Amino acid sequence: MTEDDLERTLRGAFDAHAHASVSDQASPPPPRFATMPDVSANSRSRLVRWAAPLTAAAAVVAVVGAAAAISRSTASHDADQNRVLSQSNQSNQSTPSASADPTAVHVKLHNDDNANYGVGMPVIAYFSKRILNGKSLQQATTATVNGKPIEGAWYFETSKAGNGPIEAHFRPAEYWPGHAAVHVSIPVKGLSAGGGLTYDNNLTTDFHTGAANIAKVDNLTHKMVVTTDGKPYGSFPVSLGIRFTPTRPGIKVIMEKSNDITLHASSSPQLHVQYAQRLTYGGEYLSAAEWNVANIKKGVNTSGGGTNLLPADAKKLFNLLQIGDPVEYVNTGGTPMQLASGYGDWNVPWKVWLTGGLVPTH
Amino acid sequence: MAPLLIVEADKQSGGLTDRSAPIADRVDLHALYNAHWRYLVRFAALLVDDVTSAEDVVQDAFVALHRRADSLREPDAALAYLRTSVVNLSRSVIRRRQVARKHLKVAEPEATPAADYDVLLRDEHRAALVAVRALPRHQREVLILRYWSGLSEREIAQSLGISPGSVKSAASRGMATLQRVLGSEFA
Repeated sequence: MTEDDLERTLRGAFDAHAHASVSDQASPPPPRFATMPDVSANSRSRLVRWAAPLTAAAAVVAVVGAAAAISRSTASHDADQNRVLSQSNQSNQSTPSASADPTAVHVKLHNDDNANYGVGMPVIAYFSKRILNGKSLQQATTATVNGKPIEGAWYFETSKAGNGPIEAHFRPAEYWPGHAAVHVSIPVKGLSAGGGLTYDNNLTTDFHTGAANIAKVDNLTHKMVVTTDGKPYGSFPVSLGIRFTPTRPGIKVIMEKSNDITLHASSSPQLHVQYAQRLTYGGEYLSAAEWNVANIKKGVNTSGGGTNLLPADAKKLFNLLQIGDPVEYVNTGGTPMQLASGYGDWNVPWKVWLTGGLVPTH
Repeated sequence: MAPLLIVEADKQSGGLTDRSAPIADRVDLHALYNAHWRYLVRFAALLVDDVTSAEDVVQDAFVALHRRADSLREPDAALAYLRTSVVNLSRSVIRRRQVARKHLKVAEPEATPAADYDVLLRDEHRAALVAVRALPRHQREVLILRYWSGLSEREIAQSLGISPGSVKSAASRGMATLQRVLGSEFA
């Protein structure tokens, strides 16, 4: 490879990476600095007056203190992130209540009503404010499977989907049963969310689970083994993350499906990736990888973390699997799958789940 | 004891009206944000390899600029300040990630380089990115800036806080390593 070739490859690679991380169509989220208290107005003049009798050195300390206070107050705005996933689900989102009442908390659900989901699908709720106490939510929420009550619990985390400051996931101790009708009722309007906050709406959601599909990927065998309703469906060779970018171990859940992802990079022709099923916000997918057929067949890990499948297998699995189906990874070398990296719900032990995570629920 | 200049202003105006004019009067932060957000997130994503962290880095860089917008009146100076902030904040992200890896039990979410754009990238591009990721920090940063950012050698040196000579030597060492790694893989 000549120096020129290498240079061209690097330019192409950086450009493709840049476009893959932020598309040309992406628009900036609301800037975090805009939500900060104005440094230069009231707060500072108050501080300066207060510091007036002090020496310059003392004033510097005060200003540093003010800066620290500001950085703390911005921590809660972390979630103004513009996630690809949240954009694709906009149709499902009711308008957040921009109600004048500063104590009102509005809840909206990610889940589509009357949708079909896999048995690992959590019910996902976004909150307009960071609530402090989840007990009333936990007590009010009831769930039934085919009309019979089932125990479930909420667990809170910072919203990686970027829908408000915090989100909570509701799930039973084990996967939902397959081929079942699930109803979840969340009558919280008027109840306290802690810290003087009150919910301003009631919600329900209904969904059907499809066949109980469970996929297991083992890095020792380099195979993805799929069962459906407990019966073997098939075994498929995979290429997982190369050693620099290992695939995360743990249980992931299919978050979205896209038959054709298109990359627009100025330096390379458009690249289409087919049969992609998203597993993490970071971008681990199950997908066809026709460029990697040799390594998939040999069982050599060369991907950037995703699960590369032979094109025919990827198509088959794209048609079988549904949003909400769990995919379990064992013997891979990456950092274990975390709750907030996707729908990492099933990696949290039930006893821990019952604590409520960021917000106490019991 | 000489009073602070800023305190004098306070006394005279009964407040800090002069200095507390909206920041937009100096550098229009919103315009700067809308114009450069995409470029800066892409830049940070190249450095930290994870879009979520990259977006955070850029938000933090603008927050830092917002705090000291008083002293930056030129959009160009502001943009240089943002680039340097993105570099420094990205270095912190990577340091935190390395610490987290050493204490696997308390690994923060997103502690692995996501680098999950693989489905979107071509073979030789993925291999190049993997090889670049394995380079020492300065070499990696210099190559990203040199072949992606469109900046001059002087601006690159400024953004990274190193001398132009160091930029050159880091670039040639980095290229030599890549030559060896990629040359052999695709021979």
